Amino acid sequence: MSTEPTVIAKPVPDPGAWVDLHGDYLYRYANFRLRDATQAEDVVQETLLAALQAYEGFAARGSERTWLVGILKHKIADCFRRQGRERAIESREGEEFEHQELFMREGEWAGHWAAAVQPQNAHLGPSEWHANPEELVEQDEFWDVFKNCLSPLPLRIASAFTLREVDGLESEEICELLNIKANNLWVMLHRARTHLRRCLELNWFNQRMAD
Amino acid sequence: MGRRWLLRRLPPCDQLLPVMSDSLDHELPFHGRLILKLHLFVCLRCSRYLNQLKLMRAVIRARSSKMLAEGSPETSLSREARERIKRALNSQLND
Repeated sequence: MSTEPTVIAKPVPDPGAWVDLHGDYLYRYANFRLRDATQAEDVVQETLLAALQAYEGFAARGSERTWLVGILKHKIADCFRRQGRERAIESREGEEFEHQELFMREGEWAGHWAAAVQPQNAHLGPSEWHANPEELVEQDEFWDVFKNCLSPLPLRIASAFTLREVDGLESEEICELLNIKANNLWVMLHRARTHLRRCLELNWFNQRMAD
Repeated sequence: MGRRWLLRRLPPCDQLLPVMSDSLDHELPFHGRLILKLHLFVCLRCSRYLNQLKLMRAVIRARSSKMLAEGSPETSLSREARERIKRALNSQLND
C-alpha cells in the first residue's frame, strides 16, 4: 500500500443525507446540553448550513459525523455565550443557591452542618442516598427531576455546569468560551453543584427512602 | 474526643464546600489539600457531600453517553424540523 495521497474526485455534498444520517445524533447532542428542543433544532440547522459552506475544506478527511459534531460544539458554545451576555445583568449569579440554611449560624459549631450538630435538624442533610448509579442512569423519572432542579439556575451557571460536568471541558476552555475568569467559574460551579445536590436530595433521594 | 477536637481546629464545613467543589475542577494548593483531607477524615457529612458530587458527575456523564447512543421519538428530530432543515440546506446549495 502506498501512502501517497490519492486523487479523489471533488466531493459533492449531499446535505439531505446528512440530515437523515446524523440529524438525530446532532439533535440529541445539542438537546442534552441546551435542554431546549427548539434551540437544539436551530443549532442543528446552523451546523449543517455551516458545514455546507465549509464542505470543500472538509473533503472527506476522517469521519463525517466527527466533523459535524466539531462544528456543532462551536455553535452550542455560541448559544452559551449569548445566554451569558443576556443574563449576566439580571442574575445576581445565584448566591442563594449555596443553601446557607443547612449550616449552624452561631455557637461553638457555627458553620458546621446543622444536621450533624442538632438531632432535630437531621433532615437538613447531607443524608445517605443509597444510590445505585447504574439504575439512576436508566431511570427517566430521575432525569425529569434533574432537569427541574437545573432550571432555576441562571442560564450562565447552568451552561458552565454543563460544559464542565457533561462535556468534561477543562476550566481554561470554559473560561474562554464564556469569557469569564477562573475564580468566577469555580464559584459558579460550586453554586450549581450545591443547589443540584440539595434539590436531588429533597426531590429524589429522600423521597425514595420514605418508600 | 479526638474527632471533635480536630474538627473544631479546622475551618468549618461551610468553608470546605467551595474547596470540595474546586477539588473536582483543578488541583488544590498543598494547604487546601491538607485541610480538606483532615476535615474529611473526621466529618461524615462532608465526606457524603463530596461523594454525592462525584456521583452526580458520574451519572450525568453516563446518562449523556446513553442518550447519544440510543434514539427514541422524543430525542429525535421532529418530521417538521427535519423537512425545514432540508429545505434550508437545499436553498443554500442552489444559491
